[in-house]
Amino acid sequence: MNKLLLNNEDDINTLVIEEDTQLEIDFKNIEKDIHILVENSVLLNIIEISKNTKNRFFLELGNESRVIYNKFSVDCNDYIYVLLDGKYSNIKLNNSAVNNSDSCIKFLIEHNNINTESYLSNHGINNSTGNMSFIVDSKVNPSAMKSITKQESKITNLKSGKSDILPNLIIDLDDVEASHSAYISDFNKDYMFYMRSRGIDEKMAKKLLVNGFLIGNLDVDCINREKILNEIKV
Amino acid sequence: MLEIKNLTASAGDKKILDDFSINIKDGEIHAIMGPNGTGKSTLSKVIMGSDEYKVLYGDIIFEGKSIKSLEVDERSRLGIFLCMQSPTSIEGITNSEFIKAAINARRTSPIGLYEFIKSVEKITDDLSMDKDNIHRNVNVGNSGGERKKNEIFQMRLLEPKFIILDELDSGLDIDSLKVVCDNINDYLKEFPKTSILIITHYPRILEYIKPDYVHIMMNGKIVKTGDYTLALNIEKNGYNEINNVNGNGNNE
Repeated sequence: MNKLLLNNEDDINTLVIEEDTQLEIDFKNIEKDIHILVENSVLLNIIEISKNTKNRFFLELGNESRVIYNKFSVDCNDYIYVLLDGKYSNIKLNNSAVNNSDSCIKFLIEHNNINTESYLSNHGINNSTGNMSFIVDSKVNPSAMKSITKQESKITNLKSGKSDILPNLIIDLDDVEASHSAYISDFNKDYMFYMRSRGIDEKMAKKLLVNGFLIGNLDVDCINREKILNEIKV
Repeated sequence: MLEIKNLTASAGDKKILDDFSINIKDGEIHAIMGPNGTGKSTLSKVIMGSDEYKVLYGDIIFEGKSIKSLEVDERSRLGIFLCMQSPTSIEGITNSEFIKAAINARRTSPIGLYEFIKSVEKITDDLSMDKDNIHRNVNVGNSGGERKKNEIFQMRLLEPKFIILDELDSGLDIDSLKVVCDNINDYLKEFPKTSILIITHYPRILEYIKPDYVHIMMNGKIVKTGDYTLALNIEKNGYNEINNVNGNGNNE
């Protein structure tokens, strides 16, 4: 598998992925537009760790191409736009985000061909008295018969901030499988009781739960897992 | 070891424990049986300090000191272990992370990797558990029986002084129940001063872990105390014959 690294120093706005590739993205304090075109029958595995960004990612998928996108962000206001233009194209997008002031991450996933699939899982920790938002639009156009679109978003509030999840399913077709869920709350009391009943104090229990909530949503290797754990400071 | 004196506790406006008393000495095994809704599981959670319940009156004394004002984790670190009736699952946290955090909460320095691995391997074998269990998320995808085994796995690693088994036998097949009870009996041989409170509907578990005393609980308090034959009598005749003869739970 080809391996690419992208960070602040790279002056690249467009990527054409012609073979199976792992793309590691590391952006901090930047505002960028990135276009990624995934060619037919190609697998693209994206692992992104970003902090304080306002980026726009545009992904276009060709026939039978597949994208697995694991995104970890801290205080980001990003926009991810996915076009499933190729038949049988597929994206699995796992986003774990921490908010320490105000942040909003927007997703628009458009299904434009037959048998396309999108799976989106958002987990957010609002560690502030500010606002945290997930805006998630899944759009299935008339050309996208037998498509599947599923989105699930959860935000856990650690302080008294305001959290919003705006899920939208815009379906212009009968033959579609679609679902969404949205959940905002504190940590489950049963989890806290269970952990504390084993002698784990409240502070450590919250730390484990935060880490588990964020990391558990991502499918990353050990090295990236450690990088992400180092960035989680709540 | 544990003495509960005239404990009255409520959930919201509803009184569940009503002037409940019991005295469990070092090394004793007590069983509590009773109809559904009589407060047995509530008792276990109140001992553990769950904030779902409010103690209105009375005291809980552990090793001579009141623990009524202590937090849940403080009670656990003193040596109280609750084997839950319905252990929860926690996505994103592995059994390894979970139990290591619990072990380290009791130590001045973190447990070494070698010591941890050897302990985990031995107890996993003793309980006939899947070796991969330690790497899985806590109870995620586990059957009811596997979750109960995981409770005993944690118990063995944390080495408590006082163990509450809240309906351990529910959800366990006969073979698994024997394995789990053998583990508990082995633990008692190693730590003979350990006390156990067994909460159960059926005397089957009491065939494997022999109680010194059996108490019948009704309407939030103990109404009758006896030995193992009392449990057999309940299984045969039900609770209808039980009268409120002795309500203070004393075994003397």
